[in-house]
Amino acid sequence: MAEPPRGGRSRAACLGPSAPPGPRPRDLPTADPLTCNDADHDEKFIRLLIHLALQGERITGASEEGGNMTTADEKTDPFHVPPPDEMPVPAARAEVPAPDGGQATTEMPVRAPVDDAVDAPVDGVDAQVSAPEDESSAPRGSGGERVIPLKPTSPPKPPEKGPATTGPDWWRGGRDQAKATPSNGSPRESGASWWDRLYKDQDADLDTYTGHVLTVPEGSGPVLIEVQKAPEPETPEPDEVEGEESGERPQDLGVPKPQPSLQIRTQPAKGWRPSRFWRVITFNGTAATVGSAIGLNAYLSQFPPAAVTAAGGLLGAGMALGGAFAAWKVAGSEMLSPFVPFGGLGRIGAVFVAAELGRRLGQELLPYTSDAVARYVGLSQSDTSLLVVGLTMCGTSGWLVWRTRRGGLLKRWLARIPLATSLLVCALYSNGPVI
Amino acid sequence: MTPMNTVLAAPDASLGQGLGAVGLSSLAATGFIVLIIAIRNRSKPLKKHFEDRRPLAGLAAVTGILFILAGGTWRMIAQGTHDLTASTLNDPNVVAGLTPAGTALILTTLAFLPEWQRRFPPAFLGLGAGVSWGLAGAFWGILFKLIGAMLGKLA
Repeated sequence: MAEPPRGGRSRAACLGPSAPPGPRPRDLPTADPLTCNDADHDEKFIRLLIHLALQGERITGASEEGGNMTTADEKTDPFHVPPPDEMPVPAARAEVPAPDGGQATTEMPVRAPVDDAVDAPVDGVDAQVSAPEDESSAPRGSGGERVIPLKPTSPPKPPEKGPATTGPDWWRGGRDQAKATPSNGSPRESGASWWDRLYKDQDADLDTYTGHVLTVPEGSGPVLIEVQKAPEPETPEPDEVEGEESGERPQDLGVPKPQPSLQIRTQPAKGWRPSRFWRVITFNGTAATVGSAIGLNAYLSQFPPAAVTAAGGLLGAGMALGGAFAAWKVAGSEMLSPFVPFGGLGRIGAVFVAAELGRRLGQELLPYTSDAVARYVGLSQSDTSLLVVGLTMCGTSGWLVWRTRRGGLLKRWLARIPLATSLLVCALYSNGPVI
Repeated sequence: MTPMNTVLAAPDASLGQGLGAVGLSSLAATGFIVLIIAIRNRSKPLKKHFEDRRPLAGLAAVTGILFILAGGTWRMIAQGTHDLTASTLNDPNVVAGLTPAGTALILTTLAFLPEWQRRFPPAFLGLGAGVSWGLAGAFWGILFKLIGAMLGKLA
């Protein structure tokens, strides 16, 4: 390897902090910042930046607006674009890519040869990419300012893209433009390999995560990302059993422009993925199998045969619970709580009274209900009580499934066990043909 | 617990004649023709409602219940359709000791859940599933009775 140019090295070293974290781990042990002066100087400056970053909470929190400029949500949001007054927050990332500065320079002349005639049409993009880096290096201090004159080859920034790249969006703009840079024959004389090596694994992560709009901005061409990612093996996405079809996924991006990218995303072979039928069958079938293995099947199958005698009590219990809950809510409401005597004891007493009333009412309600159903719908009394029992079983376990619908796969599967078991019990119970 | 064991005498479940003197067998013939048109998928108004496979299987199941209620040759057709699949499933080499409820579960699953590419299998299995609901009783029987009560009001 040839001796890297001084300007490129120091520029890469000073650009390091402005990049999001994520250099590959093999770059870390090879870094030796003590061998060159600029890296040594940058290390001092990086120490200063780390020191500032460790105080970053206090600095940004005690800003002139009284400390409520940046909320906790904005800081924990990974896609939050930091405004310029939050500069210590991105500067905190200086410690991650900083050792990369010494190593990045050694590989730079390898990918260096670039034809100027080929790069002529993309010089505008090049200018936009390189322009915010100058701005980012400007507030760095003495090290960054010394580096800027060493890069005379970058064309001047076109003025029409000024508001897009400057302002609070300089951070995201520079990142997105760098992703759009093609990997082969990059127009940028030294920055392309640097950007590519830094963003490689991060792009690999973004490649499998298509649900977020911010990962594919509108202004860039994600086709180039796909071309860059093509030789890499596609990570199989986690098996989402209840998920949607793969055909609907590109539409979730909501990005109208990159049409070829959307087609490319569906092209690579993702391996064998079972259809929705098999996913549903496997998910619920394994849950029901486990449910019968732990004895839940044998326990729940006692209820449908005993439905005729159990339905009244079950309806009474359900109405007792409902009445107790409603009484608790009503007696504690703002309108009626002044009229409840004895304070909390009166509220508890109202709950018990409502529960007893609900129990008696539920027991009395079932004969009337089944009578009306038998008269107008055509179901017999045993059918109605069977329906009450089955709806209670499946409704209770279905409520559990509904509560855990946002959880992970294991959580949803564990919550699915009672529902699948009770559904299987209800489906496999038969009391003779009706025809 | 005395009042809930009482079984009252359920009166007939028809509120009146919906379509006049149509009769269940005429309705069964109409359902048969509609099912064939829906399987062929050439008619525009039927294509609007039954182009998907699951509504088609539902139509076939309702038609199967209608055939059972109509009796006679219609019942023989529906029963044969059901027995063809149910006896295949009841074979001891396929599913040993399959109850009627299990037959209904498997037939309903096969008719409604898979994404069929052809239009005949969901219709055939749905026709058999409608019959198996009546043979299984309990919850399947409730479904059968509800659909049968609606069809009985139509006829």
